[in-house]
Amino acid sequence: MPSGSERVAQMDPSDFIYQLKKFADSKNYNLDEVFIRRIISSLYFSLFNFWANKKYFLENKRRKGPKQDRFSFIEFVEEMISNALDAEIKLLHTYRIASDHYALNPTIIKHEGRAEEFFGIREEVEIDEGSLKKAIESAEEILKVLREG
Amino acid sequence: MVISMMAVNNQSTNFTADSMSQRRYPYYEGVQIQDTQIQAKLNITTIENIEIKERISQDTLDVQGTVGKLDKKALAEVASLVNISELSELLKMLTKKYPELGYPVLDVAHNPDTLEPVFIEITFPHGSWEEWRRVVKEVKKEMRKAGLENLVARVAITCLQGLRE
Repeated sequence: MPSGSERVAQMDPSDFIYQLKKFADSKNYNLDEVFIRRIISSLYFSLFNFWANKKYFLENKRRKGPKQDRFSFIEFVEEMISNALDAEIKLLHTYRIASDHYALNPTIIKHEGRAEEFFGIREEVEIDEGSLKKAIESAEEILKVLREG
Repeated sequence: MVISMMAVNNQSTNFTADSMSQRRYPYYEGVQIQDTQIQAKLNITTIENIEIKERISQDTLDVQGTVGKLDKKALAEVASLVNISELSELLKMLTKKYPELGYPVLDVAHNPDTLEPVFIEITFPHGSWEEWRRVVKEVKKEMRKAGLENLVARVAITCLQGLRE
């Protein structure tokens, strides 16, 4: 069983993100939608898992589940906002939802309990080469802050 | 303290819910948050006026913006997350300093498990991806300098154009 700090180091997605970027670069970002969806989703979750391990082992935070190790997405988002990563986390979070939960592309994301429909705020997203580039940029920026923190 | 939220939303709005179609506008809502009494005059798409009765101040602020879900619950949620006068100052600063982003809309993000309000989202219609990132960094740096740590953590700024493009 690794120590807490060893476990956190194991979950550091630096190499994973670097390799994904290298792969996307090598294809000139000309990838099919299945690849793009899976890359965006895995970028998000690699960061989320790293963050949750840091919370658990380095900050001794406990949440839900038998081992109290189930952290919520909204807490992750909230913490990134407090680090002035509003754009990066919003982009990654929204496109992750589109990639994992919505069939159509482009599509419109609806957040539970939100009032967007009353005000014409339509979070229209298109999963494509451009969103992949932005998702990688965002992941790199978020990683930088997570590694410093 | 009195905060006026001016009607600035130019988008067409369709209110089809029965409760909305039967409601007569403007109407008034009031909530009590600890020592603060909040009274709001609500019009069909905007909060026209919010009167916050605190023990000390009686200032007046004009704020451009609209608030989603115009009811007692929304008011209470916004007030439970942030100091409304600080939020008003932030909205004023944003619309003055970055007019190219358009007029903002406010909404409250909830924890889907607990349904508790978590942060306030200020959404602008315009602003490219690069502009969005720059504005957030600039604004939050200034907010930190001004000692508004809670506001930094509780307010998310979104530019829809940057999200879509």
